[in-house]
Amino acid sequence: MIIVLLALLGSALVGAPLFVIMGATTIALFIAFGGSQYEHLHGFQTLVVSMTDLTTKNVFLAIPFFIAAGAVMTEGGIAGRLIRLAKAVVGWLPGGLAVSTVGSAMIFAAISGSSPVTLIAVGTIMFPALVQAGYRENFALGLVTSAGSLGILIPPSVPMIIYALAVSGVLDSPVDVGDLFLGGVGPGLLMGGLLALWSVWQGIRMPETRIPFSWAELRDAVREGIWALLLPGIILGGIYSGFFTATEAAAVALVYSIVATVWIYGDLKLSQIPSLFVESAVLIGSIILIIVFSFSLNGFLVEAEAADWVLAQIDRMDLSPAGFFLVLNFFLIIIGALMDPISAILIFAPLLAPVAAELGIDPVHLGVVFIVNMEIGYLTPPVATNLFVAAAVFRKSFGQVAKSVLPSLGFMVAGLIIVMYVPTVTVGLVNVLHDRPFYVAFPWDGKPQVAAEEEEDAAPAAGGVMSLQEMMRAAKQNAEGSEVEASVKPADAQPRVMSLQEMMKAAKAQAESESAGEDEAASDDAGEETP
Amino acid sequence: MSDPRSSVIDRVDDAIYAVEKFIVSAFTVVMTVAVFFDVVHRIFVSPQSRFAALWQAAGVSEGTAATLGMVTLLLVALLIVYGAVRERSLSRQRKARERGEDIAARTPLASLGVAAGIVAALAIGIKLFVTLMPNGLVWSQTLGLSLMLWIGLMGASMAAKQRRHLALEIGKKIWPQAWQKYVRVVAGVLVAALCGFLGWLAWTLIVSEFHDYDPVYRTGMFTGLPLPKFVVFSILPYGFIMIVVRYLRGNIAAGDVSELDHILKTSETQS
Repeated sequence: MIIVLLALLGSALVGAPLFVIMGATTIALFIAFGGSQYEHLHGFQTLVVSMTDLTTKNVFLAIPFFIAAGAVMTEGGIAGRLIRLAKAVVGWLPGGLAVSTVGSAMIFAAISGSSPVTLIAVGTIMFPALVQAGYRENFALGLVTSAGSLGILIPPSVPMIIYALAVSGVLDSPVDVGDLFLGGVGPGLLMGGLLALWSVWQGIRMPETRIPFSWAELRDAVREGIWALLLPGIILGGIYSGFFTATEAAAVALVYSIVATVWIYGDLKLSQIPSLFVESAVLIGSIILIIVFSFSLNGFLVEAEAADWVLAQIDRMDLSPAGFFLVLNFFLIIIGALMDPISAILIFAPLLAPVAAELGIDPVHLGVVFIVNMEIGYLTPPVATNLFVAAAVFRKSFGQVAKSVLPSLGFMVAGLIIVMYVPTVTVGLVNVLHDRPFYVAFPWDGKPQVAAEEEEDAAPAAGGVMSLQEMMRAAKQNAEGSEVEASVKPADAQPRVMSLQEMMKAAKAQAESESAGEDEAASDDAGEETP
Repeated sequence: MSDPRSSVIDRVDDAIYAVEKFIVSAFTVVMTVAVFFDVVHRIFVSPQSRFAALWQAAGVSEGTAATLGMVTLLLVALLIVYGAVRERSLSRQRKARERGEDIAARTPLASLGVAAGIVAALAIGIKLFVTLMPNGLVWSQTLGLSLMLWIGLMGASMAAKQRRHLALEIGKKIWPQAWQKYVRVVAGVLVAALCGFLGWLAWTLIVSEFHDYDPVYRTGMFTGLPLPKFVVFSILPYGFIMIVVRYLRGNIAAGDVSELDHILKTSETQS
């Protein structure tokens, strides 16, 4: 353990990249606890193999597509159109200009996928406009700085894809990216709604800030902005109507964003697109090694039964799921203040997800709560990316910016508490999609929610004779085990057809692994050392 | 006169960087097109398309549903393309006005004509595509993931050149200015040690995959895609070695380079 801590601390102190810190930690853990396999250098081949495994995870393909689509749309100057549209729709409300700031920032952040970019694109237009309209400077500053951070909750969200990738290997069943996207909609609207209400409250005292409603302006704004606004609609609509998977939605989004910005709006030239692809590649390159090492680290955590250890500690502390969630959130807010969201998700989500699942907390719910915490982290020093960007862009002191976001932070924490303890906000829509009851109570008593149908679906005991149907199911599970993909798969998708021989082989492998599992359990019970 | 600060290594590095930029752009285009066309093929074209299924659900026979599905698709496409053509025309007019020019926007009827032409061209293109590739591009995602690995590792190499790899800021803040140079050297050595080791491991993996490769028995290849694994995985050692070189160049030589910069700047100011 000392070696691991030294590796972690040493790498961090010299400012080594995060992938080096994770790589060094993983290697140190393997050496310290991995057994004889890691006495030889070739034993570490697993680190490289986990990179080649990326070629089997279809959902991973969604990340470059979404990043590139966001870059294209951002460069295409959609911010102005979204702001015009938001003003036309909600500008007539008390505090309309501020409400439209929240709305346009949320949609822009969802499309661009970047909170700081939203702050720059929307904030540079809206901050002076808000101040000019008579809003207090600190209110305007706090609003534009915090509104952009909501984007990682609204689909498409790269941190959500990363979460699905990170936890699917450590849970009994993979987490669906489509479910996560849908799960983020409720909390996103709740958080945005709270900020909008705050804006209305501010605006009530300043009736002169209202923008008169005009049907003609609304029509023109919709006509001009609809092509930008359609992007999230195409992605969500495509996934949930069963037209395409999350990965395919990402490819469609990229093609659509190019057509919209180059051909329809004429904001970009086709010759500008390659440089945006290069920018996206560098962004992917800056996280790919972290992702790969997190997979290796996750593999180790599973083997070391780290989640069981954490659960035992929770048992010892006599923590209820509610208490666990509270402690977890304090922890995540601190983590969010120290690390960027993607790194935090990759490192901590695989450790926490099995524990939460054991306590009856839905992995989709946990994922969304995790991301809300990371969103708050954007506004919390010392990392507080948005605060630094706002201070630089608006030429204000860091202290003033930090002070200005305090009310927003308060609203976001209030929203977080609601999201935490009212799971319906997150999983309600997901449940409706899967024909389950909309309302879900928080598991106060901590009973794992094992669905009866899952028990029915369980494979027969090892050694039992399996029906062909069971073999097919087992084979399908085996084939899809490493992939996380939208469960709303198109009805007319063309999966690879497995031969009966392959199915039987897969079923046999599963039966053997279960049998081995029972043997291990038996030998553990007998106090024998498992090889 | 060439820049004295630009060494041969820098020029070679810049040339490699330019090639990397070209490759990642081209691969992004290829994987996007492949996945997109596979989606187009499956959703809008195959007899089991959603539109046809909707008609079938309404009680229309399979054959008629396929035709009606195609007609529905064409009408929906016409509506969308018309909207796009109209907005494109208005957008160009707005931009011209901003420049002080006055151009007339296309009339709605002319826009509809253009849209109909585009939809007709798309329909012909799709028909050709289906005829030439009746099974679609079922291998598209496997190809996409392989290219993704290349883009990711090349991106990692490029991120090393641009110092864009994520790092905890704490390491840069706690040391006195005079020590920063040495701390960067240590960080560079750590990166080089880890990536060098990973590069070696990746090389041994490629050798092993190369021995497994047999085009006759189709071993050492991806399922559904006749692409040798060792070719795809060859990006791994490349990526790691480039990270090593770029971090060593950037961090370990940083002291010398900054000294040189300082001397040059001082001499320029004095002259």
